[in-house]
Amino acid sequence: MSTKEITLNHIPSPTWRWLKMNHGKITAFDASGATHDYTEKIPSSIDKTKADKAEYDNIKASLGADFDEIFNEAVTETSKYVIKPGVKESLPLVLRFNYGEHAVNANRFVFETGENAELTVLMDFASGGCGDEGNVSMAKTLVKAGKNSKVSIIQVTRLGENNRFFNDIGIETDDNAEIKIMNLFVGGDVYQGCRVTLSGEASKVEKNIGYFLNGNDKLDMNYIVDHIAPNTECNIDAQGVLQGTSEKVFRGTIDFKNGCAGAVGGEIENVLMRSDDVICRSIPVILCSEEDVAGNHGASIGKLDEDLLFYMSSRGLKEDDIYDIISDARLRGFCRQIPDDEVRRDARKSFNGGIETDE
Amino acid sequence: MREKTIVSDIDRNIYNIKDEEKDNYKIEEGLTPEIVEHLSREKHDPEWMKDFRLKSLDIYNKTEMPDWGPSIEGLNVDEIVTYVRPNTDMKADWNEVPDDIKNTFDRLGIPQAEKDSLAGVGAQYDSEVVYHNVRKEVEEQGVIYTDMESALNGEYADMVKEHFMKLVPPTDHKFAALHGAVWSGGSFVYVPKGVHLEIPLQSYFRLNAPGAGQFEHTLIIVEDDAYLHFIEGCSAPKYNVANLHAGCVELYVGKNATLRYSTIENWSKNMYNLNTKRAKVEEGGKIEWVSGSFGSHVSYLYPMSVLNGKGARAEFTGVTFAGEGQNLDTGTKVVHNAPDTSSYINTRSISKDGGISTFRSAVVVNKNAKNSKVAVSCESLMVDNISRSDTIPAMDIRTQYADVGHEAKIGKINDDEIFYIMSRGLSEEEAKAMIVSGFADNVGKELPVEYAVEMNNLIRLEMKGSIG
Repeated sequence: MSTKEITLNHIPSPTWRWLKMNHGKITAFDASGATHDYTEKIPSSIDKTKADKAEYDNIKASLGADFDEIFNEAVTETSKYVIKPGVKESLPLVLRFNYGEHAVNANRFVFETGENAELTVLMDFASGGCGDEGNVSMAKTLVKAGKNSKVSIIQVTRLGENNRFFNDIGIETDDNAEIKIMNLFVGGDVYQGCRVTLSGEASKVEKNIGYFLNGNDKLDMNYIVDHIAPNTECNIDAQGVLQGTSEKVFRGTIDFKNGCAGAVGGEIENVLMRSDDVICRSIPVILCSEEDVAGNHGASIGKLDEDLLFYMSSRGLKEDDIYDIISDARLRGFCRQIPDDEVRRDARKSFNGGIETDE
Repeated sequence: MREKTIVSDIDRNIYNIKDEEKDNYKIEEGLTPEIVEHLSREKHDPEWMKDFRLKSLDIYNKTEMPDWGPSIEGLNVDEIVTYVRPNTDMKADWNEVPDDIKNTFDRLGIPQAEKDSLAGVGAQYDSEVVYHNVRKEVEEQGVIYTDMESALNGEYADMVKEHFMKLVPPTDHKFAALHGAVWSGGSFVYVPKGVHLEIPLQSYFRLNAPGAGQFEHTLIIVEDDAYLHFIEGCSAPKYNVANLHAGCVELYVGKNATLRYSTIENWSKNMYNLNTKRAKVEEGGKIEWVSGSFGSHVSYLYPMSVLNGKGARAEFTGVTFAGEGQNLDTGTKVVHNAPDTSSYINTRSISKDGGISTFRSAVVVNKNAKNSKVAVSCESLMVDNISRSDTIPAMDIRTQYADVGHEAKIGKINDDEIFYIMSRGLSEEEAKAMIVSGFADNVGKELPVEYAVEMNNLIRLEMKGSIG
C-alpha cells in the first residue's frame, strides 16, 4: 500500500506554512484500474468524439501536477463534446455519475464551443453509499470557449462521507466569451480545483460556489482566475454552511497579469458556521501586476448577523429555526440553477434531511 | 501631452549620512559557535544567556529558509558582521556622545524630539545603545526605561530572564533563531500597575556600518491598568553591500492595560529587514500597532497579537510604500485565544516604480474565543504599470460564535481626482502625492504630528518622478 504523500490544490502565491493552507495533502493511490462509467443525455446539436491529448493539454487546471500524474494513469480516453459555431442549444448536456459502485472511477471531458455558440453542461456526481472502505472518484472538465460563445458548467456533487472525489476544471476563453460555473457540494471528502484563463479580450467568468457540509465531510477548494487579456471580468461568489465536524478550505485567487488593463475582479465568501466543531479556513488572494484594474474581495464568516437574528426572533422564530431557514435559503438558490428536474430534486433532498421540497 | 518629470534620485540626505568608521570594534563576519561565544564574552552575558545563544545558533542551522515570501538570495549571513560596537559607552547626556554620532542623531532630529515631546529616548548606533535617558518625573512613577544589557545584568535580570524570547521563541523561524544567537542592544521598558504615561518613549535604531547586521531586542512589560505609547524609528545610509536587520520586539500587555507601538521604518534600500514583533494581551488589555514601512530592499514584517485574555483587543493600522528596487512583504497576524476578543486591521499599500508590496495576514480564531469579532480592511494602490501589489489574507475560524468580516480593494489613482486637484492649480505630481498621502492617512492620523509630517515627507519624496 502506498504511503507516498502528494500535494495538490496549490495556492499560486503561498503564505506561512504553519497555517497549512498553501496546499492540500493526501496519500498517493493506485488508480490504474479505474472504471469510466456514466450516463449521458446529449442534445442533438452536440457532437461527441474522442479528444487527442494535443487538443486539451495546454488548458491549465488547478489540482496540480502530482494529481495529474495519478489521473493520467487512470484515464486513457477523453470524451469531447463540440457545439458548432452559431448554435445556441437550449437543452443541457447532462452527464450523471454514480460513484457508489466502483473502487476507483475517473473521467476526462473536453467541451468546445464554436463562435457565437451556447452550451450548458450539467454534471451530477453522486454516490449511493459505498461501504466502510470508501471509494475514490476523479473527474476533469476542460473547456475551450470560442469567440462570443456562452458556456455554463453546472456541477452538483452529492457524496457520502467515505467518498473521496477529485474534481478539476480548466477553462480557456476567446474574445468576449462568457463562462458561468456553478459548483454545489453536499457531503463527501472533496478536492476541487478550478482554473479559468481569461485569454480572450473582454471575456468573463462568473463562479458560484455553494456548499453544505455535515458530519466528517471535507472540502478543499482552489479557484483561480488568470486575467490575461484586457477588459476581462470575473466574479467569484461562495456561499456555505458548515455543520457537525466538517472542514473546509477555500482558496480563491484573482490574478491580474500585466497587460490585462481594464480588468475587473470580485470575490466574496459567506460562511455560516453551525457547530463549534467545524473548521473554516479561507484565503482569498488578489495578485496584481497591472495598474488599470479594479479588484476587491470580501468575506463574512461565523454566526448570523445580530440584527437579522433579532428581526426574525421578533417574528416568533427560534434561533435554530432561523439558522435552518437561512441555511436552506442560501443553497436553494443554487438548486434553482440546476436545469434538470431529476437532478434538481435529488440535490434538494441531499441537503434538506431527505425532504423533497418544491422549487 | 504629459512630460515625464525627471528626478535623478530621491533626496534622502537626512538618512544617508555615512559616518566614518573609526575606533569601533567589529567581530569577524559570519556565524559560528566561536563567533557567538566571542560576542557573548564581549557583552558580559550571564551563563544562561550564553547557553541560550548557542542553542539558538543550533536551531538556526537546522531551520529552513522561508520559501513563501520575497527572495532573500542576496543576503549571505556568512558575510554579515553580527556585532559592531561604537567607540563609546552608553551616555545619559547628548553632550557626552561622540560628535560624529551625536551629529547624526541631531540631523535625524532625535535630541530635539526628546526635548519637545518625549518622556524618554534610547538611541542605538550599530550594535549598542549609545544614549539612554528618561525624564525624572517618569522615573519617579516607577517606570523603567533602560537598555537591554543593563536590564539583563542589573536589578531586572530575573524579569528579563522570565520574559526574554518567550513570546518569540528561537524555534519560531530561522531569523528568530538568528536573533537569539546574536542579539545586541535594544530597550527594556517596565510600566507599573496603574501608571499612565501620557508622553511617549522612543527608541531610535541607526545602523551605520556597511555589511553589518542589527539585532536589537525590545522587551516591554505594561502592567495591569497602565498605558504606554512607545515609538520606534530606524534608518541607515545606503551601501552597495547587503545589511541585515533581524530585531525582535516582545510586548506584554497586562489586564486592562493599553500599549500603543508606533513605527516609522525607513531603512536604506540595501537592507534586508527581517524583523519579528509580537504582543501578548491579557484580559481587557489592548495592543495598538501603528506601522509605516517605507525603507529596506526586502522586508518581512508582520507584528503579531496574541489575545490571551477575555475581552482583549488588537488594532493594526499600517501603510507600506514600495518603490524602485523594493519588495516589502508586510502585514499582521492575530490569534484570538479567549472569549470576547476583538481585532481590527486597517492597512494601505502603495506600489510604484517597479516596487512590490504584499499585504499578508493571518487571523486565527480558536474554539475558546467565543463571541470574538474580527474586521480586516486592506487597500492597495498601483501607481504605475511596472509595479506589483499582492494581497494574501488567511483566516482560520474554529468557533461558530465568531463574527469575522474581511474586505480588500486594489486599484489605481482615479483620473478624475487628479484632474480635480490640478484644476485647483497643483501640478500632476503634486496632485498624485496629495492623493497618496490621503490614501495613507489611516496611519498618519494615528501618529504624533511630528511623525505624521515625516511620513508625509517620505511619501512626497517617493512620489517625485511619478508622472510619465
